Amino acid sequence: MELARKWLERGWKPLISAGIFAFIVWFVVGQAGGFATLGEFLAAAVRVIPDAISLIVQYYQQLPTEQLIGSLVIGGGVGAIATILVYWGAYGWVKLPRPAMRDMFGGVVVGLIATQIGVYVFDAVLIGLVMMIGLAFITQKDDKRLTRIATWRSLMSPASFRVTAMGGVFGTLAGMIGAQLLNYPSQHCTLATEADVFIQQAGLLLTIIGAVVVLFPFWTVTIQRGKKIEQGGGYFNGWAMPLAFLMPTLISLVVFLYYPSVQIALQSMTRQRGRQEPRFVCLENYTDLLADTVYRSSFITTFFITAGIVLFSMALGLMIALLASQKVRGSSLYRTLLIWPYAVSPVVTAVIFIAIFRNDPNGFANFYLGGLLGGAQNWIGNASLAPMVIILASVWNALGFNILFYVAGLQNVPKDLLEAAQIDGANVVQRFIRITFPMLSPFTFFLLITNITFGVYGLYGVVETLTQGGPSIGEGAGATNVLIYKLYSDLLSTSTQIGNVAAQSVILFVLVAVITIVQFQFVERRVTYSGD
Amino acid sequence: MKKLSVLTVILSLVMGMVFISSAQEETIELDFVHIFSDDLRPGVLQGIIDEFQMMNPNVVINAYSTNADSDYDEVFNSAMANADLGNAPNIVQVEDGLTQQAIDYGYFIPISDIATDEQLATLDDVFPSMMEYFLDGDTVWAMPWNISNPVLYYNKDMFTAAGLDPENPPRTFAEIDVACDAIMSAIPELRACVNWAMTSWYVEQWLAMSNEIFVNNDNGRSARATEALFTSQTVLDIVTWWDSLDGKGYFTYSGRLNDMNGEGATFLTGCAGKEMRGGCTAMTINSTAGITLIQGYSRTLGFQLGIGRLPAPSESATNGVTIGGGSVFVSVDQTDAEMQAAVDFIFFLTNAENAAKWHQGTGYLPIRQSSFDLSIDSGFYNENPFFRIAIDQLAETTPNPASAGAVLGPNTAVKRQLLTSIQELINGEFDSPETILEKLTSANERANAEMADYNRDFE
Repeated sequence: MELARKWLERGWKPLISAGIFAFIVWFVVGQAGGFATLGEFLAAAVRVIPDAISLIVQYYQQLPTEQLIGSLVIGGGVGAIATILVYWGAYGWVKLPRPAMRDMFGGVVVGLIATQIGVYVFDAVLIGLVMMIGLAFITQKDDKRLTRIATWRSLMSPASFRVTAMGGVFGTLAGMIGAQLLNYPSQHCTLATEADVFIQQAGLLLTIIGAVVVLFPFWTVTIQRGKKIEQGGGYFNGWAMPLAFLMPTLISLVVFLYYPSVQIALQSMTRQRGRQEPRFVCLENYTDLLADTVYRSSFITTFFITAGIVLFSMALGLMIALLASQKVRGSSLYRTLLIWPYAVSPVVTAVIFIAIFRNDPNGFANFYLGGLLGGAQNWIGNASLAPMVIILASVWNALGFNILFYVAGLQNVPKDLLEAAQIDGANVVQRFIRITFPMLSPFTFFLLITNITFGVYGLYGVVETLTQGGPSIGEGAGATNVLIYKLYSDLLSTSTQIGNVAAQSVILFVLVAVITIVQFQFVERRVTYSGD
Repeated sequence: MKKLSVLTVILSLVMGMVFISSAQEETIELDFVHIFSDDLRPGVLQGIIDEFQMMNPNVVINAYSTNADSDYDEVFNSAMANADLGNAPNIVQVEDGLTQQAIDYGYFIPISDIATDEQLATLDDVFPSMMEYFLDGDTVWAMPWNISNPVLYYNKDMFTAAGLDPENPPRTFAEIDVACDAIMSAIPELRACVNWAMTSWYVEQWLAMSNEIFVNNDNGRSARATEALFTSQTVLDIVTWWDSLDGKGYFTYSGRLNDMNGEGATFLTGCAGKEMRGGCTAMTINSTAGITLIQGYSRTLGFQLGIGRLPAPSESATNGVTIGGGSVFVSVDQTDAEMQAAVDFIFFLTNAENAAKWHQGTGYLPIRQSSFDLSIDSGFYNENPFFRIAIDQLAETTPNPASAGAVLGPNTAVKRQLLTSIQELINGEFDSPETILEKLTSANERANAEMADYNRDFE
């Protein structure tokens, strides 16, 4: 008793620290072998740093001048211009616009027109981006917009000159360094004079992306400098303790996420079969894929199947959630049953759908269709029906997840708003369109991203079990050969060329990354969070 | 005193561990993956393994197939995938078509790098047509093991019912047409007259018989093949005939690719309502590897089985067949002791007695002259005349690049292109010559692209 009181007096902090410490010791001891391997791995990584640096130096000594200069000029140019603008914005001399939906639309249209009149794809992307930013600058309504003469007058002050010069110099340097970020791993191959024009265009884009990736943190750091962050007297004072707690996350991110991602990206620029030494081939795997008709049709297939899944699973999910939210006896039981399909694995889902749609008079669908209407179909073997079956199976599988979130979302819709609207004479439809649906927008946004990700990444099990990417022959062959399925089946085929598969996975990653970024930039801003 | 006892315990533990680990070092465990998951062939193999283990008590051999209906591609893939994970199976059965890839991909070590001179000397006894497949100059990459070729199986009862001579099976495409006219009018309950698996193997055989090559550069033997020859007149004739046979309703297949077992079942059982016993077809083309199984089932089901040589495209196609089947490769990822044991086992598996045992037990060819002689001397063929047919038709083969068969790196991909086009034609109705040429041309282009892509990595 006395002991317990003493413990309590000394407070809970040491107790928790001791607990955490004990857990760490227990975990480390239990996983000693794994940690030793991890330690060796990290130590090896540290040990090769000097070698790596000398390799980098060697590499730059051997690099043909025009390739180096190309990357420096592009990176430096982009860095200087962007940094100057950002600094002007930070000092409040200029208001930088955020591209609105309209600007993005204009950029996309111009980019598409450019591709149609024969401009290379990557050029068209750049033209579209420039157009988008330009439109944003021109159309913004602000006193400090760049298109006003008064703005330029205010920029003629000596202070502004100093900032402009600094931004120019540091921006150029940062841009030059950033330009190496993607060019060093690709051995500046895209900037070689003998490279294909198409690859050169890709190189231009890669150089700019690399520069921007370095410039963003550079801006954050340089603009934040001088603004002293309040250091409170929190429990985790200083930097060592927080760092120590962050270490496990950081290490596992680096070892299990960043390192493999970089490896895959590097692999995607090589060709390798079996145990061959990888041979560097620049972006050949990517150009091969773009020229590959099977891959292109797989892209289109993925687009339509994903669109179908997202549309139907979200619309149905919302409808069912609305019904399930009604106050009925036993509604919680209904909800549980409705959410239940989500707990079924995609492969099991597919097996259920095989039972329904199999090409045989005894399949459920054909038994009833054939018996009642005489319209038995070869669901899985028909190029226009097979994607429908895939969509249906995936929608059924994902539905529970959508219902779950929409049911939760509907509970957050304030009742007083709905009641007020009702008193004002709004009918059910009006209340749904004007109040419920907008209030649900954060959920819709979240579900949109997760459903698209599911539609692009999550279909392997269903496709493998139901159609194997088929029908494999005839008109419309490969009607369900979605990107993720093609990736797996290529990887598992006997004569895999590993670089090609790596390039496929990089493309898939970039695809989802771009979708997510676009959504966060342009969709999320129209989203209302917590009713304000 | 206490210290002493603790010390004793520790010492005895250490000694025990040393003892156990040294005991483990003496036992060599070998994994042998193969494709056989039926109830006959694994048994024959296990008999040979048991004998080897008796003679070599320190060697344990685990022979298994990856799953219930694994095929060559699957076994090969899983072997490579497991090797990348550090669990390489020590011995892998590889289909003859995958030989070039097995050599190129670097997962296997040539048998001649490990085998003793005495062991290598015994290879003189192996039939040259089988051995050459696995030679690269003096390097012996693998050991031929389950070698077969295709034959025509037919139901003698149905032949008799159709008024055909049951001892005279058709020997050419034209004779198949004639026989089928008679059979289909006599037994209309049949699903079709003849069936065989949707595989490019038979097309390759018919090309070899016509002295035509499948891919350029002497079937890939003088240099890496760069072009498929799917639009030659011979291929056109073969596919046109096949398509017409299907158009008349005389041909059927299970709908799946390379479904050797499924086609065997179609020939043996099913299709109720007909008078005589047997399956849904009167004839089938299948590997000699099926002789034991099909003969056994035909006896159980109570019909007279006949086996004839593989029918040729025409009277003028006079060359013999090529070989098919598999060999055994040795993984490069193993200790010297394991490699040595693996190679010792492979030579034991294919020595005269065991090759004869395997041949007589399964229907695969005897790979050595001596194992063939053993089978003759023991009077095996007097009781089992069918088992000779495959050997006789192989003996008639005049060696040339056509009859040697194609060597291809991207074997599966190239053959799949041809097969896809043929499958589209067979699934449809009668096709015009233009359609057939168009399909084969596009298959040819895709196959060329596959070869170009593969060859880029091996220049």
